[in-house]
Amino acid sequence: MPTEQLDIVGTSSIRVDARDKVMGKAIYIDDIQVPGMLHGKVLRSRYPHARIVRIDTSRAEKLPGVLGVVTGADVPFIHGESLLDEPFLARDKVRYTGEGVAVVAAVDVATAEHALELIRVEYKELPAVFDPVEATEPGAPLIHENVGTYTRAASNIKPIPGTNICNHFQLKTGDVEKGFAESDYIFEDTFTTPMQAHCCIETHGAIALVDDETNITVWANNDSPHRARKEIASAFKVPMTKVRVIIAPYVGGNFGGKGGLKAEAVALAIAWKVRNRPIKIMYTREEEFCSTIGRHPSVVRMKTGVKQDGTFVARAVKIYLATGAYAEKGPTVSTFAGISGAGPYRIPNLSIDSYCVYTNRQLAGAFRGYGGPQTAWAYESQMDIIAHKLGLDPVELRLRQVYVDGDRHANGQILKSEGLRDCLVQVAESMEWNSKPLGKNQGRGVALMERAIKTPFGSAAFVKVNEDGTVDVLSSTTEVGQGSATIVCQIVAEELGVPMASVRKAAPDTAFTPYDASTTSSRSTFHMGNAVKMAAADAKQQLLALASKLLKASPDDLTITQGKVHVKAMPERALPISKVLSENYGASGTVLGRGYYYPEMPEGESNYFSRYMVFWLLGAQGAEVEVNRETGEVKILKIYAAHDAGKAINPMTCLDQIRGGVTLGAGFALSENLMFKGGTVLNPSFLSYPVPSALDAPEIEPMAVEYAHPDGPYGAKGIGETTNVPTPPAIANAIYNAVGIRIKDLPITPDKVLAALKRKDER
Amino acid sequence: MTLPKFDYAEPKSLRQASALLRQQRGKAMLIAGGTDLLQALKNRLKTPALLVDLKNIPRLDHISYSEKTGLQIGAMVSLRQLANSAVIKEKYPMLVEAALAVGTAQLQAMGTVGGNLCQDSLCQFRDRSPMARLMLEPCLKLGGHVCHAVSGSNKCWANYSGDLAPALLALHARVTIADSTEKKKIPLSKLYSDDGKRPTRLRAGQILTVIHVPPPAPHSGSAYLKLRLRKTIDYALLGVALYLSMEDGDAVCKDIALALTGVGKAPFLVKEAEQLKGKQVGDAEIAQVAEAAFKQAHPLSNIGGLTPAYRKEMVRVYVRKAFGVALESAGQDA
Repeated sequence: MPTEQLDIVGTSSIRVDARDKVMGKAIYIDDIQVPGMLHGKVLRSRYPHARIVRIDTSRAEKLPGVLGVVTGADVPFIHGESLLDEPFLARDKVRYTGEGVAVVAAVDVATAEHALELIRVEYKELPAVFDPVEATEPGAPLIHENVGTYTRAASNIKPIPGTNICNHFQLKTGDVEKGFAESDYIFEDTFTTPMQAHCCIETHGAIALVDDETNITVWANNDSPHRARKEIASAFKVPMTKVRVIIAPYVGGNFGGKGGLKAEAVALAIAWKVRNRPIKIMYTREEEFCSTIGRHPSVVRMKTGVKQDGTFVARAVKIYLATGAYAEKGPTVSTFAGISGAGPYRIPNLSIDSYCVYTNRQLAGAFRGYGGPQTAWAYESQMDIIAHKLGLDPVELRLRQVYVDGDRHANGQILKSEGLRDCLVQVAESMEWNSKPLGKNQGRGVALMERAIKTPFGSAAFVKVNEDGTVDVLSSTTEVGQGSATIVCQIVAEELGVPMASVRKAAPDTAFTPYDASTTSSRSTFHMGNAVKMAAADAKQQLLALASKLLKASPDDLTITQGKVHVKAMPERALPISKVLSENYGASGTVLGRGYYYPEMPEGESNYFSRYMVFWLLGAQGAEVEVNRETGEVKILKIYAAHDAGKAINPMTCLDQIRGGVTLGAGFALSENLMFKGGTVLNPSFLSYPVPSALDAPEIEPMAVEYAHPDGPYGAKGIGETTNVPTPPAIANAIYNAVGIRIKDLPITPDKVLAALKRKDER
Repeated sequence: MTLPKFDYAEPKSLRQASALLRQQRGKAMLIAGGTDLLQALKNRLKTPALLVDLKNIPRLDHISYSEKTGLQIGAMVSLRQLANSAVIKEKYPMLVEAALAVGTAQLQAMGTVGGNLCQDSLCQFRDRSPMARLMLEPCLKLGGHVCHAVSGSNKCWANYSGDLAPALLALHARVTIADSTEKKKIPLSKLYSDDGKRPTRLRAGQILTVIHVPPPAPHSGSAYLKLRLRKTIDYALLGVALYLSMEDGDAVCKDIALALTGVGKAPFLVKEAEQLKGKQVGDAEIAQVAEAAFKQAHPLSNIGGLTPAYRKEMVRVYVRKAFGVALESAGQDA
């Protein structure tokens, strides 16, 4: 990278959303009131799998204050991001407990709630299946009889007709059987993870308005307005110009959970029937836990062959991800789980099978890490099992095997900008891996992670310079708490040469802000960062051209600093941007810069969730724990977390991402578990679902490693989804180091630890 | 869910309050802070026609103490008020520990001592919204015929998880129960019914008004230890409260009481602990009491994310730990 003089990028500029949020002025979806607005409530299925015999809504419709009731029969449309399999409301049959069956629109929430009690639904129960491995076996009840004929987003999504498998991803290199035959040791382990809930502070919400001419407007807290618009337009078979998606200025948390159509789907269903009235549906916390999405419960079987000296020869991985009743993003989650399923290590012979499996439970979809936490739990736990068996140091073994620049990844790609080794080295150094003494029942462990990134998908931006020299950034990246608005403004301010305070990012609205694939996959800093950088550079060139006559200098000799266009060599020969515009355009005038970033792809690669990655998400963590032998409680003493940011555009935001991610990972490691009885969620509240509180958050030493990426803006890459992935195996490895027990099923609750300690003592 | 419709009264005297409760013949309920009640109302687990709020009744939010009669806590004293009371901090540190173990800071600010003692018992198969309840057969506590916690049971096994009850039981607390005609003082242990459906024995019109705690003996010590997954929010998956006092100058136990919560339909005293009176408290004695407590605990899989076997196992561990803490605070080497 050429060294650039940077003024704003690389500084911990105060977040642009901080003031609004601290002062309680931030506007969220539930703050939005549209004139004439009604309120909707959803009647949900009480069975995990049942045929709908009849629905009687007549009594609900007669209730004063009710303006309409809709059932699946009224909205014969199907949606889905990767596989078109999900109705807006259940039709013919319900496939999970909590699925929407009917929606009431009423003048207020209480009336709508009351009306739900008046709807009668007659069901005929069907056999259900809940375990992802059982669901793949012959004879398992079929949840989608026609999975083979569903419309797919791309040809690389591969359902297996006549089964519950909605995607089978395969990756083979070398000859795995030959590799096992040549190995000195074979390790076979099965690891499982439960469903984890996103636990956004803000629940899902949407306001939908459909008019007589099928113009559709949706206000929502969705993470990706353009993706939602496309999904809505395709489902309702209307042109995209008829669909407008407006995102609330602030979204209270995402972590992958706010994508696709959730509250939007049920709000659209009722708005399709009750026309010309905006209808708001805010999910309750219980609906959030039971009727949105969570993290895929998983079973990962890992078989690894190694030589006596620790050289990896072969690895076979079978991944089963329970996606629940509808595919949602499951097929692409299982693809990414598969691509990185063997871990970020050089292994010549590989066989990876990743199955995305329907079950009769709450859906699973995108969740920070996107298949990474489940596979890292397996490959990083087994890494320590292997190291221990061979008497090798876990850090040393990883350093020998880990991918570096120039290696060929399992997907076939030659790696560049692979900062993972640096991350591990930093972690090992900061935790004094080889030298720091630990106390009794204390232990240390490390874990690495790698995750693929949604490739290739585009991002567009406009940078609009106003008459007074201020700048509006029109970008559809959503600020969901991750800090993207700040990053975008910093890049524009840097590139254009204006102060941070002059730049403001607009809230996404598909009518005005240009296309962006999604605010997901840790892609915004990289993709939207590039797009706004280009747009700002474009605006700057236009401004320099306009200033050229006024300053009597060639545009090449001009630049902009602190909002003033000036001759490079003579800062005093300057004009404020406002003056440049007014001198050219009189009282009015604006300059519009454009940027569109779309990664260059190797020939023959898929253009939808390809195997080739524009960059990789990478990170390493170390954990120090203390285990109480009497109670089985695990106390996290400290987590050391180094993640490859390429370049930290805003170091503080980067480190905060790490802190938040580690806390999420610690919850997944030690307590979080959405529990079911059959298909019914047993703990759908913050009281019963043990997401860590602030008091439970561990001490964290976050580190942003800056291993620059040649294609990233200023070298930057994404970091958000790296941060929670290695935490559980790092903790499990530390527990093993402390007391010699190996837990393979998350979460590592004290009862499991105590039982394992007892079993160990008995041996 | 939104709150259902109900009438609301703020009587100015106990007599009025009791009269209102009786007039409604079981269709009225008391509200004393509401942190337990409001969620049950939103979930339609309770549907009273009238809520009788005790907040305007004089002196119910008072705390008083004398060396002779001990401590009086009005039922409407908030948990925060209790935890901040100088005299309680000095004389009854276990009550402060128990109050601060309840829910969160916000719940401690709104919740009251009387409300906490009279809180309903819990069961994850029941404490759900009306729609989520439909996903399971109606249970005994909902007026149905099945128990999801103990299959085949014709008794409700909802779990009592209050934090203050065990601490007050161990401190030999008594409570005043008033109705429109009389007031009577009963031992706190008599308040509880051991019926999962209705954890207290209060009848319509009866109001718990004051909690009385005898003055602490010299050389006394105590401990309240709570098992939960998180450091806050969670109900007790087990709570162990121990109070003991020692003879002057030697290691002989003069008085002792041990109470448990979170592992049964009611909080309960472990009577076997009393056998330590007049004895030296050594490891063998402690183990004996821990074993008795272990036997009386009946945790079930109706709350929380830890196995019942583990919670039962922890009874032994927590009782032992509680002895360590209490003996140390009584000036003994643990």
